[in-house]
Amino acid sequence: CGKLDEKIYSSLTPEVYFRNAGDAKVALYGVYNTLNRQHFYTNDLFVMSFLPSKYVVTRLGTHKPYASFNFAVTDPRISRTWASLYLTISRANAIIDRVPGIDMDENLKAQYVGEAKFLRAMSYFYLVRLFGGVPLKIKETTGIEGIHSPRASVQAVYDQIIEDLKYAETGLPPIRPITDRGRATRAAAKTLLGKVYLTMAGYPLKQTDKWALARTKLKEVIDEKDTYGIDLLPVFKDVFDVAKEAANKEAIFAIQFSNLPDQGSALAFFAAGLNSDYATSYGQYNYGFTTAFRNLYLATDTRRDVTALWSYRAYNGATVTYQTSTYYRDPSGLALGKYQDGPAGKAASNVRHANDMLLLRYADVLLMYAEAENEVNGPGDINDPNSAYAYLNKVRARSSAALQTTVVSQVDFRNLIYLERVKELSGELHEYYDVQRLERLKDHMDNSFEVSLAGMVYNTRAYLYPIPDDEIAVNNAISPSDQNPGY
Amino acid sequence: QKVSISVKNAHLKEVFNLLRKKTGYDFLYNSNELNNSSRVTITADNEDLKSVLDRCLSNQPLIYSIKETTILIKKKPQSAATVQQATVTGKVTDEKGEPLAGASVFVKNQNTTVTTSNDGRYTIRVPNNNAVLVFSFVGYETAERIVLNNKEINISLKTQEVGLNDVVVVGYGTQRKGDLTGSIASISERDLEKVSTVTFDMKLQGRAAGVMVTQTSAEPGGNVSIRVRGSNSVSGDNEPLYVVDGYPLPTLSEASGNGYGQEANPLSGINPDDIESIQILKDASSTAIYGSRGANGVVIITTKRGKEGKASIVFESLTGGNNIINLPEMGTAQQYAQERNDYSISLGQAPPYDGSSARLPLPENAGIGTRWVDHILRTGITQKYQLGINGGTKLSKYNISGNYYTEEGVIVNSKMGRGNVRINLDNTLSDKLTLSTTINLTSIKNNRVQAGGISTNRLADPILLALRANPVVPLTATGTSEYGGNIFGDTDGNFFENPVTLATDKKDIILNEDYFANVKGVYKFNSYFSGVVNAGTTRRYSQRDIYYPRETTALGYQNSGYAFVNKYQSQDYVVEAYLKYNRSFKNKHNLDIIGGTSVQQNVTKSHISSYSNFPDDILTTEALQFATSIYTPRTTKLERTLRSFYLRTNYSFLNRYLFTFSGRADGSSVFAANHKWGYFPSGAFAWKIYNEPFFRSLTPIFSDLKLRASYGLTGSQSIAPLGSLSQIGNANYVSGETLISGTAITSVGNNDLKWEQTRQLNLGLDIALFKNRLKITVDAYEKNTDRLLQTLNIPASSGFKTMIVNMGSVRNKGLEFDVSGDIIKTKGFQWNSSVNVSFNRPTVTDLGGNSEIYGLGPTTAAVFLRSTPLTIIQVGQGLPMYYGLVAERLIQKTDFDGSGNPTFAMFNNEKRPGQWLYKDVNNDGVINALDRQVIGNPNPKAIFGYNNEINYKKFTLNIFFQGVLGNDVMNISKAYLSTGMVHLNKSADWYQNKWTPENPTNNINYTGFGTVQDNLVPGNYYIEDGSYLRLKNVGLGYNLALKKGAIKNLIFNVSATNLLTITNYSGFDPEVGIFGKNNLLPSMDLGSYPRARTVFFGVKCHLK
Repeated sequence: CGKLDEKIYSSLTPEVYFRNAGDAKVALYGVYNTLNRQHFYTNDLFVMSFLPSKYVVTRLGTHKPYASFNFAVTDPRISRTWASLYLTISRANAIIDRVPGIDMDENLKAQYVGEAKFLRAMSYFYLVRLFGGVPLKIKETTGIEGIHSPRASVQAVYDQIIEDLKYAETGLPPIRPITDRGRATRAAAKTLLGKVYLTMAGYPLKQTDKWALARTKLKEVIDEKDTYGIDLLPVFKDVFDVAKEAANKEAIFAIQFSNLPDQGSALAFFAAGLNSDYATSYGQYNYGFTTAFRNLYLATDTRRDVTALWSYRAYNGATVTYQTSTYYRDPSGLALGKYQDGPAGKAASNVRHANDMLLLRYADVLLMYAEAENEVNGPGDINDPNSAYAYLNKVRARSSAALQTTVVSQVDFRNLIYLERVKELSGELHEYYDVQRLERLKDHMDNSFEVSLAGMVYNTRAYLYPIPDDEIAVNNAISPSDQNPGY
Repeated sequence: QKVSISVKNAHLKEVFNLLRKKTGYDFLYNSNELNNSSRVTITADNEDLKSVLDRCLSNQPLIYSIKETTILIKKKPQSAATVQQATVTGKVTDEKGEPLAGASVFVKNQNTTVTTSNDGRYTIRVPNNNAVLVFSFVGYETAERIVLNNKEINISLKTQEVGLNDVVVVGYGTQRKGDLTGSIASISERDLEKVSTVTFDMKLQGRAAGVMVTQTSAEPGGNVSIRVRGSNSVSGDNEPLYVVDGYPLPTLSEASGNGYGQEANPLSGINPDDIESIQILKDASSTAIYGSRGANGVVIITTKRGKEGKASIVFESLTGGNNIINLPEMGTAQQYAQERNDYSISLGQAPPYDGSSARLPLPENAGIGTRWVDHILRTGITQKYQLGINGGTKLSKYNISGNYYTEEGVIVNSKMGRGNVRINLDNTLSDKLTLSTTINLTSIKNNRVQAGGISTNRLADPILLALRANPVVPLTATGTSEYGGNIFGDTDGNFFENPVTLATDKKDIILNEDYFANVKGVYKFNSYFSGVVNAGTTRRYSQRDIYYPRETTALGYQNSGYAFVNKYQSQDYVVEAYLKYNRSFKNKHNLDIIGGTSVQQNVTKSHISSYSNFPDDILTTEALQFATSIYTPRTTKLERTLRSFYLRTNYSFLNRYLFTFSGRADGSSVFAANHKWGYFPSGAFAWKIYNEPFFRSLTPIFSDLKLRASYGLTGSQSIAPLGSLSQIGNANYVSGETLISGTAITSVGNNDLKWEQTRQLNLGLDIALFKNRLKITVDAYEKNTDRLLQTLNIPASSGFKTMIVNMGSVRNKGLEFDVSGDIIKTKGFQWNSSVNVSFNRPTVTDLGGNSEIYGLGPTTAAVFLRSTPLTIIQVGQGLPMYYGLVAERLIQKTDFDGSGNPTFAMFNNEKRPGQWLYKDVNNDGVINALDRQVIGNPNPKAIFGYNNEINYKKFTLNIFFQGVLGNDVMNISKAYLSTGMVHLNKSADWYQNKWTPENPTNNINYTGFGTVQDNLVPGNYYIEDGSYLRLKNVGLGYNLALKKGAIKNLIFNVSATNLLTITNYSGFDPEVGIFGKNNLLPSMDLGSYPRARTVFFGVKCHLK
């Protein structure tokens, strides 16, 4: 009955694929493809990372639970983020499982597998910070077997992340040609590993031995920056200039967006008062910074007006200036300026903004190093070019912020670094995770306008998001009693 | 009759002539047989005719018999009288003289019974001359004859008035209704004519026991879901197989668009006026011949074919108007503005409606405002024109019809039009060969206004938008008005899309072209052996054009015009060959066998594309080259092949014991490599108790009594091609501004995928009483479906969302009653009444080790339904059950302790008085997913139909009720209409009854203001009783039968559908289902297209 075989016209099957290096490369781009999808980094994951903060207010009812740390089990945004992160992992697993079997150049093979492992590690790193211990899937799903995975321990997830990044570190090339922009490099693997160690040293694992590991790993990035072709850009504004993306030496790992259909970012539309036709007269953005956030900066600090827009050009060409009138008619805080498409750029639609999203950049490396150095050796001698002070000041100097010239204690230096991270990195998916690992939830909840508006009070459950409702519903290995505490 | 006669030595012929003149009786004889007769001399004075005849024929070699007004003269059988034990032979025919095979002949008060052979002949031994022979055949009136001296008794049986003799179309053949062993519901042309709808499927509603018809969308040509004896499958297709003129239709769809929206009716290509009859095969014995497609029942549609005779021309025209049944009253601008102000004040903010500008009037000055719903509804007009020509000679018959139908929906701008031509030809090419040709061409244009808020609400649903739209905003607000700004900010600066311009200006046209052609050749080898070859094709070409204009729709504004052009094409062909054998043996055994093979192949192609950035709104989808943004198109081609062998044997013994064995072997390409073939056997037995001699003499009130039993296996193959395989799709990425090819495994395969299997037991009883004036059919069944084909939601942590699996079992048990009776039956006045009631209980019996499966809201649904369980399937429960939190009452001020802390378990930290207070099922002090419960049952306890037809002289009155009892509906629209959702208008009822500190109600339908969308989770406040009793149709016809002129009949009629609906349901209508045929999410209502009440006026003209 040979004629009953399925005829395949418009799709491929794995059996006839993964035959050579070309197939492997195309499949690898399929893993990267998950990153710039519409509901992922620039929308749902962004909301989950950025909004729970005392520096943010929002206009929309659907976003208020995030800004007020009142996460709902059934919120579709949480479910979509969970599924999107696992989609990246699933596609990475396919590369990791199948590419070694292809007859091709071994170095290239290690590089492809390394990239997949980097992306898998990055996804698990988001998962473990958002949800705690999660199902640890490191094999491709090829059938019904093994689709129900229980929650692994937080430690087990981190162990896997470290293992993957260590592999990626050796397999990945130090630098990429311009045509491979957006693909992971050795610097990206090292930077992420440094960040992982830094995070493990904080809440909830509090493995203080990881400070030294973080310090060492980040120092490697700093020492080898010329090999990797990375450095601070002299002008802060340029870091986020869509026109200068190709030459952005500060970017270590950035998600690629473009004006092409289905390849654009939605973030400018949702978060920025933007130079485009897709803004209302009030500014079509749903959330923004409080004036208190703006007041953290000195007036001379060039980061201030790049990060939080006091005024911007609206859809009709008019300049809109922040108004502090009645709550419901104000622009919901100061628009986030890092993701504008620039004066020349006009996206073809509200989900086709070209501005790349920087997940790892060199200023973050410097600040993380300063933090780890402070934990290992204290802030050090203020005049020592290798002290924590020096690395903090490298970041400040670039933005004409006042340099740190007074000596502070190790504890006070922690606060300095945190505040510097807020000023330097806000809007780049670091906020919630810094709050979490540095145990600053109470401060943020006690001092948030949105929290008080919602009638919420400080509750430690907000250190984690709930495991999404639909995962618990369909995963036989996770029962409702396995839910995170408080949900 | 008495007669007087006096003849002398007359020839018998003369005598007969005289008697004919005097009595009016006709004489029938063979002149040759009179040759041997002797001359007659007789005188009779007012003597009985029989006595006169007796005297005339005494001593003649002749006998006579009287049949009505005919006297039959025959040769006297030789020496019959002399033998005590004699044999009588003869032929049993119907009124037309056609032989009746399988008729019973027995000697009264004895057990000897024989059945007639294929040519209607019988031979029976009789004890003596006084024996009485009884001739009976189901569907005919019983006749009796005394044997006397006759050696041969030929008899013609009269048809019973209400026919068990009706021929019923079954799979690959026909059967007499009286000979059925399975459970088959039959709907005649007469019933079909009564309700005027664009598609035939709505005409089945309430007509047959066990068949539940739900029009899930009331839009013109809207989708209809048909369930025969409940649903077998959890997420597979539960629709029956449709067989049109022998052609098993493939599952068709329309170019349904860009991933959102409701599917439309795939059966719309069939003109209901062309249908002669519909049979619904329900039990396994009837459907097993369709094997892998039989589990959900089979609907056999037979179109009208030519009849011998002069051309009969019928023209019909019909015009109707429809308007909405039940319109909710929404709040006024004043109520809305006041509410909005109160909310801001409660948050310690300034009230927005402060009179500071014309856009923000003080509530007391806002007045009624815009009644949005009124502006998108209208009275729609329906028109139909039908011309049918029927006739032919003995060798060549034709039925040709043309039809044009147009229906305007009750929402402005929605309209469906259909043109249709059918040509049915039957040619007898030789004594042995006949050829039947069937051609049907249909073109449908459907201007849709999509309703049903399953999609991201701003894209699609003007009804939902209109219900909830801010009434302070003036009707003229559009993208360019001050209210629009650009993305249509309303007076509050909130998102607002004008529902009226969305309905009127958005273009959404589906064009369907359907082609059906079939040729069937029948070759008769001899009187009991014939061969049939059937070859046909159906094709559908469908295109959907959507354009969102730049100025008046939000999506169009954001994208400078947005167009979707989607194409779908289905090509299907079938080739079948089968042999038929039908023969009687020894007048006792009757055998009827068919067996054959078929191949059916279906290829579908789709092309989905979208475009934006148009320079203007003039050219739209007809000039896509003007768009400067062209998105990557998506194209698919899928193929499925089904190869089959099938066999059915009907055996009857003495026309009392009937056996049926049937089965099919199906090989389908869509299953995993090791599971391509499935085997579906069945058996049935029927006992015609009525034909038992002992029974006949016992109970004269009976005109039929039959017991039936059947058992068998059927299957379902309702999965898409490639379901068993992992597939790789495209997944591109970008580097800078350069697109780079990427691929990814986008679905996970299942190399163990096999057939879903349904075992069904059916027990039935057919009773007819009082000369068929009262007929009762009762069926009881149990269906067990195993290895359910399911698109199972799997954990997202696997990297995939769904997988097609075989898992679990479902049992459906049911009872069906069908009773019809002639209440009044006089010459000028007849009243026939029929009732059908059916009860079906679905129970999940196994879930493959899972404790439960959830029906999750689709990811495109309104925000609070996305990916959250709406239904649950658990072992021991119905399929499915509504699932959610249980609000017991509202939070009151007294629910807080002295220090102001809540004394109840909170959901999402909600503690504001006036909001829902949930039942803490597990008593853990917090309301969360663990507190969800079964909150309703969408499966009806009973469905019923009640039809009355009254004929009085030239008037015909038809009254038809239909209803559903004991089911729940999830009315999600209530989230928008009667919760205090901010920024949305609510129903007037809510404004009056809502919770306030002054009105601390505990009614969960009236929460206080300030409900946020995140707190809208599925819960018991959406569950309503969906029972209804509907006066589905009332029709009054007057037949002006003309004696002169060209017109034979001129029938005027006026009818109304959906005239009256009795229900407690608060939405538009309880017959609803925004998720269409999705069996996991049944009977859900969210911005559904409102149902209309329609009144028709029609004229039907029958030319001579």
